[in-house]
Amino acid sequence: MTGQDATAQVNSMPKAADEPNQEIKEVIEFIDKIRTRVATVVVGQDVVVERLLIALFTGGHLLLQGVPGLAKTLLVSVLSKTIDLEFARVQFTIDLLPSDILGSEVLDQKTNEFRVHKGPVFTNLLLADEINRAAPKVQGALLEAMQERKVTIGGENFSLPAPFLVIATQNPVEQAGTFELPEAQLDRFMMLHRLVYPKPEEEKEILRRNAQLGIRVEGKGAVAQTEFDMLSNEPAGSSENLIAAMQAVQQVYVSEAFIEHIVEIVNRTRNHPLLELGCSPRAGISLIKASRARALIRGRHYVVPDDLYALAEDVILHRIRLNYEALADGHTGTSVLQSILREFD
Amino acid sequence: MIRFSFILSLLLISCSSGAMTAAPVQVTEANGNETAELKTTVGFPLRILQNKIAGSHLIAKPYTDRRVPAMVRIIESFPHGSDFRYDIEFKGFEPGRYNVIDYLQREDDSELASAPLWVNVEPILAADKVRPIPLPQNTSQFRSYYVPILFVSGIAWLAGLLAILFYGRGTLKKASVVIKTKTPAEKMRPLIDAAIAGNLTSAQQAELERILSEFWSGKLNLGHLPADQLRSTLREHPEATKMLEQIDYWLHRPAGEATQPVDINALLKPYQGQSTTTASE
Repeated sequence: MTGQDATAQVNSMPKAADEPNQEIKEVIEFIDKIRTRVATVVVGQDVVVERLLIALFTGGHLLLQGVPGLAKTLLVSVLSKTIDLEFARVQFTIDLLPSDILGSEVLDQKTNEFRVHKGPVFTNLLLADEINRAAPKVQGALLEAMQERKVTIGGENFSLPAPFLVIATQNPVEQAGTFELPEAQLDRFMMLHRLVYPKPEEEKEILRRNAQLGIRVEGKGAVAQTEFDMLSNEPAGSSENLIAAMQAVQQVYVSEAFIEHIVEIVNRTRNHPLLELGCSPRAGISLIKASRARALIRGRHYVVPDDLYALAEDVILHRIRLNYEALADGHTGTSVLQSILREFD
Repeated sequence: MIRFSFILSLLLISCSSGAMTAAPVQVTEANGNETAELKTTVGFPLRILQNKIAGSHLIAKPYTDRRVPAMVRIIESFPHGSDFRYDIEFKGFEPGRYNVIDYLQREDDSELASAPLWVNVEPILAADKVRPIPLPQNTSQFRSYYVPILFVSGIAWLAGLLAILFYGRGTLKKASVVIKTKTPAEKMRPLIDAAIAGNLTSAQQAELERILSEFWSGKLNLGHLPADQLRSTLREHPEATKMLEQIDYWLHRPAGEATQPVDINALLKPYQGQSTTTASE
């Protein structure tokens, strides 16, 4: 029997109405508004926007890997303004100290008492630019705050605001003088997304838009405008919309079969002959969280394996490590992961 | 220049004194009369300090013949009126009596007619021990079997290499053949039977779903695509997408969403009789 016969039989099978309920409709409208607002200043990068929304809706942290100039900062900036969130950016350098991020106690000379000066980590969206340029103690301090969502300054605990999302970036080239994040710290990031260059059509649109930016008069002079000047300060949604979206993600249905898919894939990474290090249980949790958010963004109230396969590279690839034999044979993390995903027995 | 040569001389003295402790001897006779005979041993440098030699400046004769049994080096010279005082290092390589003056010459090539300066170089070894004591002969049995052992080891190494190259590859080929025989159709048949009978666990349901995807991948020649692109391609395919939709209803949607239960028999029956050779290998 051929596949056509199979299709003929399936055609006669029952279907349900695919209309999402009112709650999901509102969330989808909110997501569409965000996408539209982002599209006013960022051309293309739909996948990155989706990953940002997934991170935002699930409270997971995101690591963006890409060469400079791919609008990473612009994306995070426009996202924060669109949802009316506080935004802070820290450029990581070799001489950065943990207190530069977390905050410190400073002596108030008027009162002769110490008072707490909170660092840039006390925000909703923190862009940690080039995180691999900072010393390990700084990376460790930030990653601890990411995990525990609280910071200790001068023996006193301070909770970080909600939502708290770290979007870190790292450059895949120029590795001299950098401190590569160890696997244990990479695991804290729900996803590591590798940005790619825009397509030729998108690149043309970027250039066209940039040519029309013009200048801005300031006092007695003028400066050339950038995409940042085009950002609208009017939010497209409120924190209530965001909370509703986060709640909707929690209501997305996850089937037993889907959980079995995840368990199978995670176990394969642990037993694969070409892998030295497989996925942690946190990878499985991240896969479910991210899949639920992706399903919601795509207007579904249930997850399907398509969500899993679409997110596998971003969730799994930074959590596995090839062994010596695999490297010697010229395998890459992507090729091994695809063989794991495509394996059927 | 003089300062430089002086420093160089100091360095040479310190180096030579560091390498081997020379015995400095102060020679007081400086008026051309024969001095008391100096002594040293073979190869041991003897320093003759502040020795005045009348006449123009002296230099050591170039050491061009390796057979010459002694070597002289002027460490430093000092003006002494119209004459010069010299710090000289002498080294004898063979026992005997040597005149140090024989190893010097005038810098201006004029004739050197000075009183002899004798150094007696004495041997350390006994008279019959002119050469170093020969090394003891190795009497180990291993030495006599060295070449045969080397030969046997070489053969064993070669045999091991050939075994790895041919037997190892053969085993790998056999293993790959075994993998190739496991087609999606073969794998899914028992699962379909169990599904129709209603005995499928959730793990088996997930496995069946993966196999069905791979079945369609082989059918549509999509084996080269990554997993996510394969799914999206199948979603766009008019036949495969209907199967996936039904699988979604059956496995992934909340129960009770469909207007009537999914007919597993109708869904999977077409795949039950699939040929085992149609799979993607």
